[in-house]
Amino acid sequence: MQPPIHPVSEVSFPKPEQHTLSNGIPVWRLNGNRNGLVCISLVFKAGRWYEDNKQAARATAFLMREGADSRTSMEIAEELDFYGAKLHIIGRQDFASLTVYCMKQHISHLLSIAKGILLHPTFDKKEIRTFIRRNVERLRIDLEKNDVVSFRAITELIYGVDHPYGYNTTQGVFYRLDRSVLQNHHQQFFTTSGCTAFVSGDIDDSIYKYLEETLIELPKGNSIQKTHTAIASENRILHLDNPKTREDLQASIRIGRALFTRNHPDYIDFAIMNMLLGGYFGSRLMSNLREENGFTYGIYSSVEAMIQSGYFQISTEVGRDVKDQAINEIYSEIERLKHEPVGEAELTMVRNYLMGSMLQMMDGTFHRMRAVQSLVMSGMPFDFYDDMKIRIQTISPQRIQEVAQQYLNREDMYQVVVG
Amino acid sequence: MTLDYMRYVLDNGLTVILHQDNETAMAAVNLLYKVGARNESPERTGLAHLFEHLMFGGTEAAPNFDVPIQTAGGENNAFTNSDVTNFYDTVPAANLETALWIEADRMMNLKLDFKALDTQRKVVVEEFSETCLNQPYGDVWHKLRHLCYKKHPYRWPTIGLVPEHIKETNLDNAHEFYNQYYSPNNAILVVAGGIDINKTKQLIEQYFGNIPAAKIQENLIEQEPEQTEARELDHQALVPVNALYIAFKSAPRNSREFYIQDLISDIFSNGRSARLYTRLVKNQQLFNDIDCYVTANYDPGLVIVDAKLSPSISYAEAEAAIWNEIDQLCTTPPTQRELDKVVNKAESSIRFGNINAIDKAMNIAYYEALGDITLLNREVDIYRSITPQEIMQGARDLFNRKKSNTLRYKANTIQHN
Repeated sequence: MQPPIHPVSEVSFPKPEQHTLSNGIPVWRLNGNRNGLVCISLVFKAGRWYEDNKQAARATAFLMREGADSRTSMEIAEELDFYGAKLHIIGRQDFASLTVYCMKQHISHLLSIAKGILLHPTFDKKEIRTFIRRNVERLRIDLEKNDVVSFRAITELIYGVDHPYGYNTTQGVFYRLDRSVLQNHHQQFFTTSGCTAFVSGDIDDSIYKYLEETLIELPKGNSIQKTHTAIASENRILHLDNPKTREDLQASIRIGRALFTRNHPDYIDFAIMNMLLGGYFGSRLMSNLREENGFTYGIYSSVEAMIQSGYFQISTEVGRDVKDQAINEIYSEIERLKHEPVGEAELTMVRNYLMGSMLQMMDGTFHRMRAVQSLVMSGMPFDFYDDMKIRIQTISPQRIQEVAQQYLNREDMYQVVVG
Repeated sequence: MTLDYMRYVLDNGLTVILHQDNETAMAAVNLLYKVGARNESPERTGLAHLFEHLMFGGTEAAPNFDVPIQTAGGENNAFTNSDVTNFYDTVPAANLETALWIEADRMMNLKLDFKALDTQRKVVVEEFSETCLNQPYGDVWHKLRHLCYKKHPYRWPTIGLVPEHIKETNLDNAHEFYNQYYSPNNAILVVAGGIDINKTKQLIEQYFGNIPAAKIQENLIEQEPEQTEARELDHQALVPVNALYIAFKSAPRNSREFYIQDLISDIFSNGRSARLYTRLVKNQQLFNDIDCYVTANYDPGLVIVDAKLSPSISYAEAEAAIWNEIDQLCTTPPTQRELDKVVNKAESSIRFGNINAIDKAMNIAYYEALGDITLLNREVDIYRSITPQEIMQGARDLFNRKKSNTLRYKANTIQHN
């Protein structure tokens, strides 16, 4: 006999403590994990959105640690490894972040290394050449993967070839990078004006003193503004043969469209509707294409929200001989969502599943901090998750149909098939 | 760092381990079956993994496995490797009972019908295509295992030797496999997270206590004879970059030698200050990527150097450079500082790998399956006790040219540069 299920009704979302450093940098802090582990993340408005040259954001972030201050690349790497610390410096679409995971007794030493990296990266020419050489080779391998090619194609169709969310990197883009590009990106964007700090884990008040020491010499930057306009393609359907000559067994399919950011009034409802369609393992697309038809190992749909825009996409790899059938089934599931109200049992499952996911998202200090970080950086209020809780528990079948009808029309979709 | 746990065995042979962590509102259930690709016959490879898919086929009481877990606000998944098949569920702690009920239900009452088998055969063949056949270098494990093992079932990868083996699996094969391996006395159940120990014990007894033990046939796995000659394989394929793999047999997972070999692989390639990356990728620019890792198998696994060559570098130059690094470690012990560095890194990754309930549950099950759960809390001490001299001696024992396996995976496209 199946035991009774207790739906999750409460997800506690502890508010972070806020502090401001003497130079104005906001610090968000969450305590927890009495296990000696900490995470410190410094986020800058230094992602693709702001760059003057393609790939400047990623290359700068990658190369800052390859020699800084009085330390060589090797010395920095050796010390970080010696302390068992992880340092990630990553340039993404909107932001670049420097994140350290370490044991609490090493915070002060590791932040002193981070300080050198933030203030005085050397951008040694030999390191830049190595970066270019390795990335050109990796790109050659990546371009032989159907799912990589289809992802590149659909984001380019949605945003345009020069838009920061849409452009694709070629060998030429890498070869055009040089020291001045990186220095320029670093000087403009690694400043106090675009910086926010997030600290979590087994920490006490001394963290503020360490952050002061680390960030006090950071230059004051100008306020950072940039605008880009998406130039979507006229052409909505694209079929590419696989770039390699090897015989293909599968085709990669992506179907999607531009959408909105997380502060759009329809965002949460759309996200719930997306869950039903293809957002989790029990979704309609997975049930149909994998569990009923065996066309694929997996299919998902997702809502991606950046700071300036968002998009929706469905992605899957299917047997090449069934690709047309697979596309038909995808659209038939979309039509069903638009025309039939979702049944009570399925909707209850999705509500409960989403509440469980929220509980999971708030489980553990490092997870919670990730949730805080994404709200703070997109300028969202902390009650976003409370709204989400309410929408999950109260959204009606009619409302789900409505958002599907409004946003999932075939004529608005871009469709890419590779292979 | 010490993880506390309670271990006991039910009358039907099910090993149970509980770990309480009141900082989380989640509960994790990890159910490990001691069966993997190494238990397959050479004519029916891929069956253990295909069967993992069939375990989601439903029962009378729960026709769809995922529905009750998802309705309980949980997630579930599974993986299969050469040694084990592992199922896991994460649920809000209040719904632990749902996860225990449904795992017990499919251990005893799985419905194996043709429709489910037929669909999952197709799904797995697509998985085979997606991960092995339709990817550059996707079949490298097929080639490498075939080169390194001649007798042991590690000679085929978990996905199976060929898609035909999966396509040809029938219901009788599936029933036989279920009856032989999916029983309480061949399983380890771990429950971790925000749980009440007494209540959990009682629920486990209620749901698993009445599942009969199976008579487990002694499944003698043919062990790999000592390798006595260097083996080489040159393979041409439509890949963009020349790749090189050099593999050696590792020590058994629960031996001290294994830990020494693990640190050797770390000295070579764990982290940006590791030897192979700094010397061969960055300084000498012979490779674009290089890695060295240990496959942590029950029976002797492999220590593998895995590299992508820079465009104008020949295989002879590439191999000479790797052997030069090997020879250095065989003749000069690492400094204490370098050894401390890799041990610190190992300790840190153990700590960061034991934060969430599900990670802890999986780790506990893994060590129990290895046959020594106490390793869970002893590994850091083992790593700390290893000396530079032992590393050098370990390198000499491991990197024997006569026991090496070299796979040259060559690009035969025209290089555009």
